[in-house]
Amino acid sequence: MKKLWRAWDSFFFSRFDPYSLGLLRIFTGVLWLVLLGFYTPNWGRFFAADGIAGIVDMTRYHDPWSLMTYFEGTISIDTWWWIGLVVGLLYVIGFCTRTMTIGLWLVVSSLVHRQIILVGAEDLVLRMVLFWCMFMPLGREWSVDAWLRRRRLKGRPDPRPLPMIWATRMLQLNIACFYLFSLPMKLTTDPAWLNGDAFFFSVINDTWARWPWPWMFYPKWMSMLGTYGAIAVEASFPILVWTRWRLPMVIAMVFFHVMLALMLENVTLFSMSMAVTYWVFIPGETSRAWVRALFRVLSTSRTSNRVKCLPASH
Amino acid sequence: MATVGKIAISIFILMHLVVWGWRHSPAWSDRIYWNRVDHSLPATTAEELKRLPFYLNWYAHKVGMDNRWEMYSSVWRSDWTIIAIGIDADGQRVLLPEPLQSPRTWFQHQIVDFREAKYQIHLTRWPSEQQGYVNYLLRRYPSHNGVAIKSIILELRWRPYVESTYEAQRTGSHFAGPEYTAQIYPPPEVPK
Repeated sequence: MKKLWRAWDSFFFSRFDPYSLGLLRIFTGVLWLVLLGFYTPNWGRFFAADGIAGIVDMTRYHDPWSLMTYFEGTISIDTWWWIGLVVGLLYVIGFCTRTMTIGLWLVVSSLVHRQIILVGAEDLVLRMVLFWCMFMPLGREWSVDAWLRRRRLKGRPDPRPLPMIWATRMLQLNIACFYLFSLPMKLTTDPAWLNGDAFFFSVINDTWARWPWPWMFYPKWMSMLGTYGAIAVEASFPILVWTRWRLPMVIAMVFFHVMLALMLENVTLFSMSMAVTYWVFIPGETSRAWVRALFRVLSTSRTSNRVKCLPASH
Repeated sequence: MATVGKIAISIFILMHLVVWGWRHSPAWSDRIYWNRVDHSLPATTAEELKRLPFYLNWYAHKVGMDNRWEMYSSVWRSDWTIIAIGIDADGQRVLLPEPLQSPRTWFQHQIVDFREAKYQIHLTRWPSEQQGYVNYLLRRYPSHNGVAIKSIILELRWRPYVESTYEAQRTGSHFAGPEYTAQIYPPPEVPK
């Protein structure tokens, strides 16, 4: 029992470098702003009381667990768009980060509960990510909060201990569970996943595919390659991501989702939301090293450009 | 952190693990659960355990952990779309300029219409929602091209695919036949 508790304790309650979480916050915030941008042309059509599935119809049960529905008649639907924008921007820059994370989760939850019939997987992923983000120290790095704190400390080291990892672990587990649960569902629901035709049926579909040459997947082996490739990646990720294969697995999954985004339309934002979320698996020290390397490359190229631009007399 | 705090967080963690498992449990495991509760336990314990799924679902719904992740678990076997048609006073059909049934620019197709396909899927999954959509269309299009719209019908148009890649390679097409049409709203009357 003691051994089990020790393993539990080290998995959920160890301290960690929260550097990656700052970047996760920026990426998820930008994703929300992009999603809001996509919603903009249809904002009233989707969410107004007399919209496409409006609450004026009363043809269905309307979920009251939405601030939009709760404040119907008090706060206009256009004001909610502005609230989403302002909260999203403040979340991205990391100002009053914890409050903004809670605020953004409330906004996304409200959208989902307002019109469950219009919900897409990207809304659900974002809501799930933001739920765990509410418990994470997202403002420790890459934020206005961190900058203000550094100014207050005037060069003294931050006296706070490193944060505990449990909320980050829960988000990681939640993502791993996507595949852990969805793969058996695939294999038991549709025989096309077993006989290798699933990829063919996905790519020829007019609604979901943007691939312009569906005939490329008429040969069985091409479809099998895609189908079994997807199964292999989805089956190995929830296991190997906890081993030393973590980084290759994360890169493989990001590649997998970027390819899906390119080949399939209408799931582009979902694929992007998944790709962004994988940042939670990158250890802080690795993110730090990558960012340093990026800045080094940028400063080197800027210096070499400046040298090239100098007049000959210099 | 104090042990009490860790225990509290651990309970929170365990609760979520149970919620995820419950939400994704297959139908046969649900049946086993209800069978056990009904037949193998004392009445008072059974009553308590019967309420458990309700509480789990309630909590999962509120915090957004009630999703079942089934991405592409079953792939479509046809191209299909729902078409909204207005009917004027003379019974003439008018195609309404809704996003998936009118000419669109690249920007409209890629950005503006990003949620239309999902909406159509939900309209077929929950047929009761079709009434709300029709009400919206009647508000949105009291008339179209100078013609007053009196009622709306929804049609499902679909074109089935071949059964397998072998068939596609043999015939040189992934379609198995012509396009079919069926009215889905108002639902056609079933002859008695």
